[in-house]
Amino acid sequence: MSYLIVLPHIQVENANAISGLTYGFPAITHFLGFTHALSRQVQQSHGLRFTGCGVVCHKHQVQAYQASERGDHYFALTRIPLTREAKTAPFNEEGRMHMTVTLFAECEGSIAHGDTGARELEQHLHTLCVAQRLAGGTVTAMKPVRVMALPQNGDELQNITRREMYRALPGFALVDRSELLAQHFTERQTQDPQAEMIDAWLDFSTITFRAEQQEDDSVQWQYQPKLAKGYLVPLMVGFTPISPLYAPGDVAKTRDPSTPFRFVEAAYGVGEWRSPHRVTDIHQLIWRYPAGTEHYICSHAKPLQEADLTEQDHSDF
Amino acid sequence: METHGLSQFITGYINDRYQLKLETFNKAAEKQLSVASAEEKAGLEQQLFEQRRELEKKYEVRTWLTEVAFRAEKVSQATHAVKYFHGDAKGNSVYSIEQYTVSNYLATASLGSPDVDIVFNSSANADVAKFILAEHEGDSLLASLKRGDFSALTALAENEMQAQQWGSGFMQALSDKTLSTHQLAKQLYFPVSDAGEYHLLSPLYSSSLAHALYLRISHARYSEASVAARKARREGHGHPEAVQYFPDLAVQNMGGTKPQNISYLNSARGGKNHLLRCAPPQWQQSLKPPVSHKTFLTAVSPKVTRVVSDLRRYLHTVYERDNTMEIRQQRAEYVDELIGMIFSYAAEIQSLTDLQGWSQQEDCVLKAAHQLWLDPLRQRTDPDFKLRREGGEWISEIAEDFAHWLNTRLKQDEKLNVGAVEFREWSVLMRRRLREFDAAQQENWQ
Repeated sequence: MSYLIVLPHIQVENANAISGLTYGFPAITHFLGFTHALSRQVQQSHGLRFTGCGVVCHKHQVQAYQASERGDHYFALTRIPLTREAKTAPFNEEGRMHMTVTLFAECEGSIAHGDTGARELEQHLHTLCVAQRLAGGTVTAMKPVRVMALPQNGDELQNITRREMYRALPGFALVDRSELLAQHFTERQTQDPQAEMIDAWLDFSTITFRAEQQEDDSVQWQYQPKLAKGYLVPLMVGFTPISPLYAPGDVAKTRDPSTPFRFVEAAYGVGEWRSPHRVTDIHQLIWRYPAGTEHYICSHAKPLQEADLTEQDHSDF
Repeated sequence: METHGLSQFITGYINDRYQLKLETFNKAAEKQLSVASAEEKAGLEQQLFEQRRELEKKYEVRTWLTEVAFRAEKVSQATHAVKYFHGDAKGNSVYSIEQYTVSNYLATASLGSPDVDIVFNSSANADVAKFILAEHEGDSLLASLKRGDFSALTALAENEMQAQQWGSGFMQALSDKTLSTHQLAKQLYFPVSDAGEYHLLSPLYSSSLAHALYLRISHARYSEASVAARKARREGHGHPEAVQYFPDLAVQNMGGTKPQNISYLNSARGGKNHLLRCAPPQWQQSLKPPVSHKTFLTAVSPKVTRVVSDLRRYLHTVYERDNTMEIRQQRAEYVDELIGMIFSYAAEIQSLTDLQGWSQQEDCVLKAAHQLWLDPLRQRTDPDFKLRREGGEWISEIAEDFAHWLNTRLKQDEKLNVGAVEFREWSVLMRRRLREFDAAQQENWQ
């Protein structure tokens, strides 16, 4: 049996706004971590398991400012705590943000005592959620949790999806479009064998103009169209190893000497912020942990189909 | 002595540093002499002479190399440095390229020739890093040692043994000697199976990847070619180089005023590390309730032009064919998309909680049914409004307004013979969706 658990409008203060070389939203691993922590608790108390999680962002405010209109953004920082001598402590910059998000958790197992059991679980999850940190930030409020049975497909699934997506308006859902990166990289390499992955990745964040010779020999600078439809952003999607997997205890000063240890770095793909009314199957939103142990990269179990894509531009969502 | 490019470069490098030091020393010396009295002068001059001799000795090529080679064990090459996340974090930095490729994602391993960073336990050893990485015609001491090429050192050394000693000293910089992380380094548990198995991961900042990004941004902003291309664009001339902007970059400063404390490359970047924006689209700050329009459809119209014209184009291509199931389905999908966009707009208006009751303004010309839909919070203060809203007749009215509006837009193409049948179809779909939407949105304001 599978259920959909909606954790609506979670308000978070001072969440982590930097993920690797990107900023503006916590990495998807934070949200998966949040639901995984919940999963561990409900596994013990209810025998349920959360297998994935989708995110819709309703509001966000990055604590950063621009020195000039077109200038770079700088993070607004607080220098606390002070050192013992009451001097400002040396510190590393942390980007913070406030946000309101709705999480959709996919849940496997069976809830005992029918509806009563489901209502009790909603209460229980609410208590757990507000006590937990999300992306390093503090949860200050959230709307009542909803638990519902999730049909695998058919009209009923479509109806549930549409109702939940209407509820999630206004907002933007984060979906994985990393396949566009791979695709664009291949295209770029056929044009220029020297092109690197980072160039392909940057093409999703830059605005480019090229001079083009016109028929009458004049020159026009043309805006280079976006690579694909949709509000696409560079995205940190997980980690990739930079060292062998060390046996438990092989590395000194780890948090725990009984778990295999590995040095990793952030890995990047491409994401899309999509208006929820464009999601027709809730499974398209759900991000999951990878099954293998070689890479630690999260993605959708059910990738978006090309047919799901609609004409959409940066300007209209 | 055999002439050797790299060894000449090393001699030059050391000599340059000596000259620099000597200059500062001479300046300080002059200052001291100028304030000294006549009887002090002789003694001081003698003292300064000895100090200068010492300096000279220290910067004698072989002495200097021996000393620096000895300190080389305190630095190590890395692609990922531990101190980026916390200045006091000790533990391993990692040197890793090409070993663990993820073909479809960006990571350090996907860089063609990553810049190698150097980390040191104390910034006093930063000069060692600078020296072994100093490039001469695309080569550096570190690179040549990695190839097993000691000839640059042999050319400078007194004998083979000294060259070997220097070489093995510098080679110490190639690897981290201990295997350790640190309590100040980030460490996180990552589930690797459904059965509760985890790997403990320690993410390190990829200095090499950050550097590749930094170089590309610097190139787009400051390189001669880019500056020339921007100028050509302003003046309407051609230029082979593209003009590239990185909008909404953020800067994260690493190491504060002492970027050299973090690593060699961080210092080269002045501690500035660029971040690309991945935030969701920002709501239009200027969004206002549609008080000056009779119908909200006027306000939403410009946002949905594209979908309407797509629908028109589609209907145009199939207008001669029979009204098949497939066409109806396809048509309904376009209309659903349109409804979705309208709902997206409506939800934004409804969430303007600060302005609740805006439809009561005197100058509000919006139709009553549209007010009932878009200003739901007015229910709290206006019992009559609440009653009318709960009556639900406004839903049908909006559905019909929508159907009428859509038909009018479609009729701009004269070939499209839309009429009563379509009107019914659009309004039925809209009514059904609007009921769902309103029920779903209830909780947002109750």
